[in-house]
Amino acid sequence: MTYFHLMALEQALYIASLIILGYFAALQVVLLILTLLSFLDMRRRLRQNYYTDFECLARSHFTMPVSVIIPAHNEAPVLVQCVNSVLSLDYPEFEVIVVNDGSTDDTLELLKGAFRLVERRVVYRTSIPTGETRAIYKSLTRPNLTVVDKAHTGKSDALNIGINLSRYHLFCSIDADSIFQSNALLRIVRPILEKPEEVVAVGGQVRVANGCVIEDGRVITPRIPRKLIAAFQVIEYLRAFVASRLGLSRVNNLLILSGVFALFKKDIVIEVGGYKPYTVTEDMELVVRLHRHLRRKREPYRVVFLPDPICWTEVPVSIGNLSRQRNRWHRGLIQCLTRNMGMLLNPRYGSVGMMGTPYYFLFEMLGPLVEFVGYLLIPLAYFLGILSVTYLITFLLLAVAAGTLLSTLAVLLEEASFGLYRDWGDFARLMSLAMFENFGYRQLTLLFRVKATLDFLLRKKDWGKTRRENAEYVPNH
Amino acid sequence: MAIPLNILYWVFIGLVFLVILSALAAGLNRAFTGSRRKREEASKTRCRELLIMLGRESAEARERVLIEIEETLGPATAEYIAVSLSRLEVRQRAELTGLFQRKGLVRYFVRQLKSQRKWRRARAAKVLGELNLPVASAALYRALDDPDPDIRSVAARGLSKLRHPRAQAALIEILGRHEELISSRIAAMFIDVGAASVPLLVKNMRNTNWRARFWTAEILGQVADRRAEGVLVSALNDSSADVRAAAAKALGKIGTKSAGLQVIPLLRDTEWFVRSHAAWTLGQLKMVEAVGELVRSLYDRAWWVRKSSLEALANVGDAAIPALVATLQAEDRFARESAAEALQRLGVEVPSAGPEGSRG
Repeated sequence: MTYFHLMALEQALYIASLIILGYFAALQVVLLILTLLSFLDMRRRLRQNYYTDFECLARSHFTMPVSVIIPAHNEAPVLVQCVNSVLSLDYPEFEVIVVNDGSTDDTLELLKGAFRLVERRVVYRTSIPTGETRAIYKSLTRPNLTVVDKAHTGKSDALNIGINLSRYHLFCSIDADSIFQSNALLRIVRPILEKPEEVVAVGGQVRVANGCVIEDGRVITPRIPRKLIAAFQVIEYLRAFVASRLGLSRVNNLLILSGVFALFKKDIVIEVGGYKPYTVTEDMELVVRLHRHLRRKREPYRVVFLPDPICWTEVPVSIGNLSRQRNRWHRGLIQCLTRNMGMLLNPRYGSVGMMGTPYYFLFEMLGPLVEFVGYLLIPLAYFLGILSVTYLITFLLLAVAAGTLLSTLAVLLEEASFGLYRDWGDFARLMSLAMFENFGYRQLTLLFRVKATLDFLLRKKDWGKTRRENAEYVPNH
Repeated sequence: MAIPLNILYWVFIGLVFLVILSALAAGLNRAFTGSRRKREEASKTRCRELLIMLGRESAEARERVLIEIEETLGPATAEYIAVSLSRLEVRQRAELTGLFQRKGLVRYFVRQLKSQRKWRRARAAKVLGELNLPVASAALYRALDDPDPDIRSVAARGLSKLRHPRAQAALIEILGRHEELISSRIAAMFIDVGAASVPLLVKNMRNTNWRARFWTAEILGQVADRRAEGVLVSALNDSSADVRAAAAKALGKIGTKSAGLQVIPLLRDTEWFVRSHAAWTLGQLKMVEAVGELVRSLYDRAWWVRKSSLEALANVGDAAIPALVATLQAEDRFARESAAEALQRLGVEVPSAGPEGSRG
């Protein structure tokens, strides 16, 4: 290699490092702004809740009824508990529709036994085209429970069947392995009751159930899980839900509502064609399509994230399951964004086109690649003899400090709002996790997302279902 | 590298400083919130004890309790004591309301209701809503016009607790004027009041605002008082389709056959939701006279009308069986399958309608 080539390579490395630095600086600033917005919004929402008459809403004849849809594929160990938990929610009128998506375990048999199901003829409207149903069951003991049995055609199809069968104007999609607070439905419906013309979808907060003390399908004492992988996810979820999504929701640029717990207006979902099977994250894809559709129609609308309807979910505790889950999430994100590239920086889609989509594209989709390239440049620069160890250490320290700052701010926001983890030991763990996740865990999830990008490029179609693990629930005896 | 190292060091130090600051803030918040919660809990417990003693002790002891409550009562404790008032007997409530006035708290909260700060106004509206006092009610009437919907909502809730004829008159005036949430709160109050509110509601069915008439019809349906039948039957011809639908639904809850006969023509209304509500009502009233029209509605172009007619026919019972059996031979697949579903619900064995029998 000639001196000229070396100079050119050094220059290229220098420019690349500057771009990466600029990128991370911009990312940190954007995340800090979102966190600040979340602080403001959280304060307003908690006060608003304090003065809301939930007791009246709970017994009012005028609280809009809701259809709760639970798609289930091989959920035998948890489904009966989940259905019982949902059926006992504090809400004036709602129905529960369980869609058994061709389970190969005894999911359906357990449901039949627990709720005395009998097969019924039911005429329903195929507003959204779906696969065939095998049978529809009604419960003899719970008049508001319907169970649909169908061949395994995927979660999107199961949800669409639930929508077709639902009686009410609002539907709430939930995951079978989730646990709800008794008032979760009342709280999630509030924005629609306030602004029925405007709000089209509402998402609730998802928290980590592993390690919590659970009794009768309710979380009694929230705790930080003992297993490190699950514990790191507590911090991740706090950052994602409490800090980031609340901020994005405030500026109506939220493109993701977790399918674990989200409420939609049925007519608008039918208008956009329901859930689509071509993506592995049907929840995000639906929300992006709603934005796209309503912006095109130039109708005022809002997609809202609320921090107070809390739902608890089991998170992966093994590296394999975590890898599959993150791979699916990131592939789904790329699928949604690449399918909707027309929205990117398109003024026709207003702030979603000019702010929301670029944010997800630049920071959520490309972020892992930029970070990965950053890590690759280190050995390259070392071999070329142009690596300054002092600079390297300084940048690494800066990255750790910035990451820790965002996490501690998320913990602060949680403390100032809900303060669910009452134990001081849990608080100390949260704080230490906020720092230590930067050493190993962050890099691990980065690898999962980089692999997801490769899988997307290689057109991998696998849904990436995580295998059920023994939940780290603590029975309250 | 062009970025001077000392700048990077300062950025790092700044970030570390912010990390420490936010961690400290979280810790301090936890410590102070914990102790504040304990203080508040202790204060509430003491207030609760005093309020219990007020109901049980002798006259002399009650005097002492009242003195202690007077000492405790301030802007901070007012909210809890005010919220507890509704659980007390009339005399004790009057004594405590008197205490609020003597300590100047009523004036204080009326002033707060004009504060620039939203949540102060909300708190004031909440406290005043618990005190059944003319001056508090007057302030709450004004708060119904507050620019902020949250305050209007708290004020409406406060007024709805008063159960006072004047408060009811004020609330019925704003029915349908503001957000749905406020109207539904007011509606819940009238439903709780029940039959006593019927004359006022009947009068309000002449309101020029269709939203007010709609909400009134909804309330009348829940109150289900026969005195409302006449005005609801008249509302079946209302110019607003929403009112017609609400009136039809309300008549289904009041439940007289004579009213049901008036509902049958609504199965041919121009709006699908009116037809759907009419079908529902006819099912609720088990109107045998409507079976023919309901079977015809199984072929309606609107899906919800067809579904409501199916439900209605199943509700009508045995009298609908011949018409349903005849519909099993219909060419329209939905009508055929609906008839099969309704017959199955009525306990009549029906042969399978084919491999896709559940489709509409």
